[in-house]
Amino acid sequence: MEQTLSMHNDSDDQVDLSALDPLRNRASFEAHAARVAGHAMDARDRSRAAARAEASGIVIALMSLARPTVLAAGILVAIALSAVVRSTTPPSASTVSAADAMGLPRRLTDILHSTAAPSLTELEVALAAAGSP
Amino acid sequence: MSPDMALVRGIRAPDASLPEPSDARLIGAAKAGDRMAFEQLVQRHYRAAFAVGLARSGNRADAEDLVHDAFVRAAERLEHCRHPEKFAAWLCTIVRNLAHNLRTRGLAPRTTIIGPDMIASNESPERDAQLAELRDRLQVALGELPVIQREVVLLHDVDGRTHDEIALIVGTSSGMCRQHLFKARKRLRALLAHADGANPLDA
Repeated sequence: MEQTLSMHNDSDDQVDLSALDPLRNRASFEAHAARVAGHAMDARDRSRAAARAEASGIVIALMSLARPTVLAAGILVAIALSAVVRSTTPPSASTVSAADAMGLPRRLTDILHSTAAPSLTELEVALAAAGSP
Repeated sequence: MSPDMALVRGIRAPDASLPEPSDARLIGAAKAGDRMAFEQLVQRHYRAAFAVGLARSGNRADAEDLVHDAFVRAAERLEHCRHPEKFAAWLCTIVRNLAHNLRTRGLAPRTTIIGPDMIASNESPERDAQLAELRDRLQVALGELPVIQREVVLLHDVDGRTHDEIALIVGTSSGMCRQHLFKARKRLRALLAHADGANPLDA
């Protein structure tokens, strides 16, 4: 004991600081370490429980808001979708060709579009239709 | 770490033939709620945390409180310890931060605890008084050193850490640690030699 408490260590040039050692009293240190660890782990348990409670509180808060919020959101989505559908639908009016607009008979335009050579009878019928009022 | 040093550091060894669990393993177990694993961490690193706490606060009572609060905070934030193999350095950083708060913002430690030295020892009252006087002299002498030298000399000569371990804890090189230790010892010897009276324990 005398040696451990002496201020100077003869074997080395170091100063003996063992008097400051918190583990000098072995039994009391072990009890102290157990107490510190107990406090620390209790604090950890409390901290984790608080974090879980906070997380579940957020979920509950979101759930309480869910019904009216979802309803309002649903209405808004329905309105928006209907507007989108209306704006993207092609006009239902039929297209009018330039030949129709000019009053050319369908038979004549068919002959003009056809790659096959028309017969005289077909030409006569088509032109007769064009000439008729 | 040698087995002798393991005993010096207060690591409980239920079976000497089994290797000591690493800090990473103990931290993993503590995260899962294993209280004994955390207690082993406390036993293993108490001295280092105390050394830093004493170096920063200058008195044992505050150092005990700082260490206690540091372990509490460490337990609460084990998930934040990104390098479990450097637990001691992480813990000592917490001690430093708490000591900084104590010094600059006047934030008292959350808990005032009864440290192991405050419990009645098995020694005689005269011996306890001599020990208390010696501690006071050492603390006064340590108070004359720069903080970094205090940390290094306490980590080396009280906790028994190697220079490499101390370098990791104080955030410097191993070579600088040696220099700090040399200067600290030299200054301590001069201060203690200059102090009035002989070593009360030598009487």
